[in-house]
Amino acid sequence: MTFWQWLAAICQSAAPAGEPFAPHWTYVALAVVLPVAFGLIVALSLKGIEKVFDVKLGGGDF
Amino acid sequence: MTITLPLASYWQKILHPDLARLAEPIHGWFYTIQPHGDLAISLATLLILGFCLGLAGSLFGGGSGFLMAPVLNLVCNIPYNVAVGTDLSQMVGTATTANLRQRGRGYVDVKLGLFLFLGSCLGLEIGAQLLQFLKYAGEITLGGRNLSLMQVVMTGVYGGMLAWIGSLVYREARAVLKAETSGVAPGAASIPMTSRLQTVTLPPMVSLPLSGVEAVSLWVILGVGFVTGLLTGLLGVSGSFIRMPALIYVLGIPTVVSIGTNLFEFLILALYGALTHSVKGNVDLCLLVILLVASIPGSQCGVWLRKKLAGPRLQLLFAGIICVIILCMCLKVVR
Repeated sequence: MTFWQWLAAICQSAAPAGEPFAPHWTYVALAVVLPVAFGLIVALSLKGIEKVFDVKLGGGDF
Repeated sequence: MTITLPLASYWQKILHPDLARLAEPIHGWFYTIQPHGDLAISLATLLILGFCLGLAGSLFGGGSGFLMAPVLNLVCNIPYNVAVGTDLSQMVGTATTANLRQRGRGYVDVKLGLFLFLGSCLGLEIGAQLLQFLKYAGEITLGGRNLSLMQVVMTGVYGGMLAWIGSLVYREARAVLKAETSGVAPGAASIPMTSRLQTVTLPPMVSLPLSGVEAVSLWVILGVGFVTGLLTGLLGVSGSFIRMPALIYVLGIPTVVSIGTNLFEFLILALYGALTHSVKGNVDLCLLVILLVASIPGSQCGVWLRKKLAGPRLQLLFAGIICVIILCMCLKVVR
């Protein structure tokens, strides 16, 4: 099972066709943790690129 | 290559029950509604859209956050509740990056941030509940067509907000261009609310030593938080374009503290927003990952382009893009 299929399966388990939406803890946790982890990785990557290539990158606003 | 968005498909079938009985697929320019109502969207479209929205966020700055949800609805037919929830969850990523990148550059008034968060939290929850109400409000008939009430109301709200932002951007750009040709510096915008709100003495009064504010009514701080939180919960925007001027001009917070406090407050607010919208089923994890991945290079290109193109003509371009989007949104409802 790929990462993509895993994400889709988690969404589908929370929202089964024809049934009311029931939030599973994995779905709720991923909605919060995924962007935080991604934000951390991006911030660290940008810092690394700035150090290695001696450039100034963005990423300080939203 | 097309992908099916599970949560967007689920809510589309709830909003339009007829789609679950669809025999033949309906083809849009960039999406297909498959038999049984599943929403399949071209992956390339989503990646390009994520890139362009990241680019717009960095290139145009304040107010560009209002583009994300209407554009996702307009181009990909993603229901507004999913567009708003996923947009807000995606902003947790950008807020995390922004906080780490800006760490040490600005002071954070934690006391002010937490008071703002209290007001914002209430506003966000009311905004999210309004969206929840619209989600289950059913359909209305307009010009012989069945439209979800959420589609009609959200198109109106986004259209109004975008028109207001567009007019502000246009007037500012015109004032700068006029000043350039006449050689006279543009006058500072008058803020009549400032002095009036700073004199509110409704107890309890709080002091903010780090910000150098001796006494300010707690209700003013909660009010600023509430308004921005309401916008965040209902429309999935950061609200910084209201929060930042409010902190500086209404509460009298120094700019350096305002920047740090704004970032800090928005991060915890976005985390709460992602949590409450996910509990309500408004976050599509597949769409979230695509937006996170695609918006990063767009955002970096936007920063680079802004250094080259910054000026009133860029603002006029932004106002023009807003006009086109409002027009397309209206056409989507009436056609």
